[in-house]
Amino acid sequence: MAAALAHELNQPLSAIRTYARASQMVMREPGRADELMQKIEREAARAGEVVQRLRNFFRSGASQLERIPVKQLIDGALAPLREDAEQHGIELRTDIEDEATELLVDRIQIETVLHRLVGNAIEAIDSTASAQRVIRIVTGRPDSGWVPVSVIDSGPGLSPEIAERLFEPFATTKPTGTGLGLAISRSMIEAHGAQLKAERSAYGARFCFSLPTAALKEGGNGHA
Amino acid sequence: MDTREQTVFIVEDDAAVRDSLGVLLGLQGYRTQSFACAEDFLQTYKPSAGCLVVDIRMPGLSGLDLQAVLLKQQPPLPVIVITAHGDVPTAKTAFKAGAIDFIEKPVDPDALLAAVRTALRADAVQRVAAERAEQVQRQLQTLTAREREVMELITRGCSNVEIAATLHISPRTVEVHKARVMEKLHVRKVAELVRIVLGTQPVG
Repeated sequence: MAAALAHELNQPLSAIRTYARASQMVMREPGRADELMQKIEREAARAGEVVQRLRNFFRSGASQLERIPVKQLIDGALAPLREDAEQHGIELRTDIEDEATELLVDRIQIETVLHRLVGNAIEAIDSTASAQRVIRIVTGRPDSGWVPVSVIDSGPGLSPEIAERLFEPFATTKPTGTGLGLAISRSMIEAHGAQLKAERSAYGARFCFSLPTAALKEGGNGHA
Repeated sequence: MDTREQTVFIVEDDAAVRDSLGVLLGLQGYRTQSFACAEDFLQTYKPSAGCLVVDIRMPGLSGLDLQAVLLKQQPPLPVIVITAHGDVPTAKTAFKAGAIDFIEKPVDPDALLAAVRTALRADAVQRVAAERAEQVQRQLQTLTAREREVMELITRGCSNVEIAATLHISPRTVEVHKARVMEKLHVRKVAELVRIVLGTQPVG
């Protein structure tokens, strides 16, 4: 995580330092100096954005586990996304089994992961003219103390090259992305003892992970 | 070599870093060409005078991959690698492959400018040496078969008498051939002849 953060901040900082040095060279040309100053400002804002995006992660870096029923967790996480999805003409469909199953999770972290996955799915669907505009959040029955969760979208799916590098920090395909979203999401799921995986489904992309139930005592090992 | 004929090639995936390096080097009077990835660079690159400033960590071909490709060219384009802070293993690999310098992010602009000056100087020296070697090759091709035989024996340290005996000709004729060889290769002393002829042969 530290390396990814360093990388994300080093990019704008490199640009700022280099632009600053360059502007010293054109002090007598106000027009050019001004142009460079604007670039410095833009890069400083970008560095600020990186910090902003990471704030949730650091704020909840130390896990605060709480008992929460699976339906409440999913509905709570999706609530702020419904409006966004609607605006994009995308249907958010949930399919939750054993709604009352109690999970023992860091709610803020799992919400962050779901926000990221659904946010990515909205962008993916938006990038195509596909008639089907659906994101499904599916949870299954607990299996040996773990509840499987999938986020499936009807977007263009993941090319093999993208799938391979998906979780690498800063491997972004988005022009404005920092490439940290999925790396952070994976860290958060791993902090819960599980894994975040991406699959290519029949249509679109599918992200899966598991969440520990409250019935599974603390100290349970991660599973496949 | 005139530095104005040299180009600083910048290969960096981050748009702002790439742009800032181009601006800085441009203000210092360097001709630059920027690329967002190694693949784009390789598609347009024709062996030319200059140096390469490349980010190690990029999607697709990495800076180290690109360095390896360029090493196959003669003379290889001098490379300055930029990378994340404290990435020692990568630095080692890059240096072993002949990188001129290693700049950590966030980039220190003055360190980068110094590295570019060093790289362009190295490139110019390399190119002069390569040109000289080519010239010698051309001159060597103007030698007759007999002159070449004489030259090879001279460079092996044989005396005129020994050469004459080996080739079954008179020492006087050896003298004549030797004079022609020196004339064609534009050298005045035997030591000079030996140096440039051995210098054009692959070492080891």
